[in-house]
Amino acid sequence: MRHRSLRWTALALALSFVGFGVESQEREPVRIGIIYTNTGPLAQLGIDMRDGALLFWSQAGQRAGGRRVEILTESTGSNKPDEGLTKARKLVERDRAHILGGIIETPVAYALRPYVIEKKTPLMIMNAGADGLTQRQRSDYVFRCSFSNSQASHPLGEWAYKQGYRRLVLVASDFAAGHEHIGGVARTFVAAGGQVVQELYPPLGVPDFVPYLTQIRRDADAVAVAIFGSDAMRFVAQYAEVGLKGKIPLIGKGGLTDESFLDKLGDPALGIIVAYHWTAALDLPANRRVREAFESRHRRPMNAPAEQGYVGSQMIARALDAVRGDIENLDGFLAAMRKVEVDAPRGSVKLDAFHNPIQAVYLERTERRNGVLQNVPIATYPSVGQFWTWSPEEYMAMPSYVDLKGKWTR
Amino acid sequence: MNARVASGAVALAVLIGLPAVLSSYQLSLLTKMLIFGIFAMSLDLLLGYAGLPSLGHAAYFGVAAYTVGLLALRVANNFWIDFPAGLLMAAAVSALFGLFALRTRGSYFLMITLALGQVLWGIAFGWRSLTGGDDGLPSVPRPRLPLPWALTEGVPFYYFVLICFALATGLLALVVSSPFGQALIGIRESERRMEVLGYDVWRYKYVAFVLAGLFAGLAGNLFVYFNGFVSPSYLNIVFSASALLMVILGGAGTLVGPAIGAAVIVGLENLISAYMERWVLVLGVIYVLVTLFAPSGLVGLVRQRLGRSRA
Repeated sequence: MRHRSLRWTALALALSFVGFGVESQEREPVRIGIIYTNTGPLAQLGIDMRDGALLFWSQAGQRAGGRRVEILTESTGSNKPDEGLTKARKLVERDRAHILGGIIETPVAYALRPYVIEKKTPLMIMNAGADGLTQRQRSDYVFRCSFSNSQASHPLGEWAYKQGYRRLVLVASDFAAGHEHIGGVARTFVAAGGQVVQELYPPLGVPDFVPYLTQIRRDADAVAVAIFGSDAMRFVAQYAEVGLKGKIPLIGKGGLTDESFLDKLGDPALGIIVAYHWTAALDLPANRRVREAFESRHRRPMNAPAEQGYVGSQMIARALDAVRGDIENLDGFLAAMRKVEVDAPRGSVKLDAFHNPIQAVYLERTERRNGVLQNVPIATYPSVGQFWTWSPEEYMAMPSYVDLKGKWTR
Repeated sequence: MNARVASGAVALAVLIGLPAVLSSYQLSLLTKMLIFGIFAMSLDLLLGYAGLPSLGHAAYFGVAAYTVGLLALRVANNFWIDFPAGLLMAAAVSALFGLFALRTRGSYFLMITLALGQVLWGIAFGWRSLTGGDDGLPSVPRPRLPLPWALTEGVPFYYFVLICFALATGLLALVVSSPFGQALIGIRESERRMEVLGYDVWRYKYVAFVLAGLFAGLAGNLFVYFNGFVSPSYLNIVFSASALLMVILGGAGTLVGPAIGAAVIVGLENLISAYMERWVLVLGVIYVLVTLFAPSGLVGLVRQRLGRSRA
């Protein structure tokens, strides 16, 4: 008996030495705090984004640049910037996170911006799309891997004009992001020579779209839409119910036919055309690989927020590789972030001088393939930046889309 | 009474000493607790003493926050103008809303305070050129005071909030123990009876309503400086409802109870969420347990226990 206990003690001692040895060689891990939304109407987006990020890090073996990476996740309610800021404080000051990431909603991103600048903590926004964050309010510490709201809108407006559409109706949820998403479409459509004949702005989370749908002018050539999440599900179904489907083509911003609920939309979704930076149906090796991994791990369809969580993590990892994991060399890391270029599921992505991604925009048509609804890419605009064909100075001198709301019909 | 003053002094001494042992994150949580403590106590004046369940208390908090935020960003970051202006606007709005709300009783009072609060939320959300819409007003600077310590640092700001908290607690304690406060309790118990006794019930309720708005404004002022931004969520029903929960959890009509309730809720929100994703569920269970087993709140429970052990 005594022998055995002696043996155990020896083993424990030996193991502790092994542990000690490893630890002394290994630097402390790089800690990345992910802030995501997990209650309220935007909860699903948040959870998808988080899972995309976690998928990347588990595939990377929780390592980058030869150093261990520790992921800390913190959740908030939908659109609670104050809660987001408290969580950021916790991650940075208590958990000593080196990098922050995530952020579904723009107000949270705006609330965090002064804080991460003060704390010199790099922030990788994986969703929140407000144009200003990577334009007039650009910061050395704030990066974005997702999109600016109007980025994919510009090609959509031009494309719509090329289809022969001349008279466009705009429908967008009545909040800043909605105005930016739809404003981008209107600007390039009008610049090409088209005319906006009507603008409708239903409130966010409106229970019934019929009062708005019945107002839509029947002499329009197309209806362009920027409506997302559970609102999008209702909108697409009711567009068909009131008999507009098949009469006036429905085009819009990706997310209207998000993969997470595309299957539930059914026939009413067929033929909708959206502009987006990604689709599950994208035939790229990286996309197939990541999608299969995500879907076998979570048993649910992968969608764009999940891809964004993945790509944001990918960018952080590449930048860490470039500085050999030396996150303490903050200037080196920030410089590496600016130069980062990744082979993402959506295709090749790099950041512009304002830290917003330059990437392909796909026009996608909802079709049924092998009995499953898919957003099938039908056209590609390669290397689209947030300023489209304008220079950054020209672009930022123009009035913002939020101020142009309600003025497109003039 | 002496025991209460003594326990208050002990609590204050602990609060003064705490920054020495807390990390910067814990200190920021404690600061938030104190701010919400003021907010919850101001609501307690209405709910616990006057018996007026307001579901729109965030209105005064938010109005003060927007006033301070707008003045600091667009006019001048001058504490001596911005801070009083925030308080004044909160009091003015509650004086206006009180005229409407106090015409009603019970569930109608609940509804009208809710509706008035939502009107303000709608304005903040919609009037983008003034309020920044749903993005709010970011980058509100902290005030510069003629002190050797900059309020941008965590510890001096904590003491600044603590002074406000101590003043608010002292003033509110004076109010509720004064004849005015006693009359409010009388009104809560039986309005008819107080009327018969010759009290101008409406006037008492109105003064309580404006006072509650004023102190909610104080919390709003501090919260803008604390967070450095204003957002329409400060005016939201969710904010009003969480204040109600703080009051009920801590114990309505006990003044310090709601401050403790605020500390418990802010603490739990941030402690549990570090360990589990579904922390909202845990909070929900705690609310249910408190309402079932401690209907007079945490402070009520403690007092009941103490009373029993003495007996």
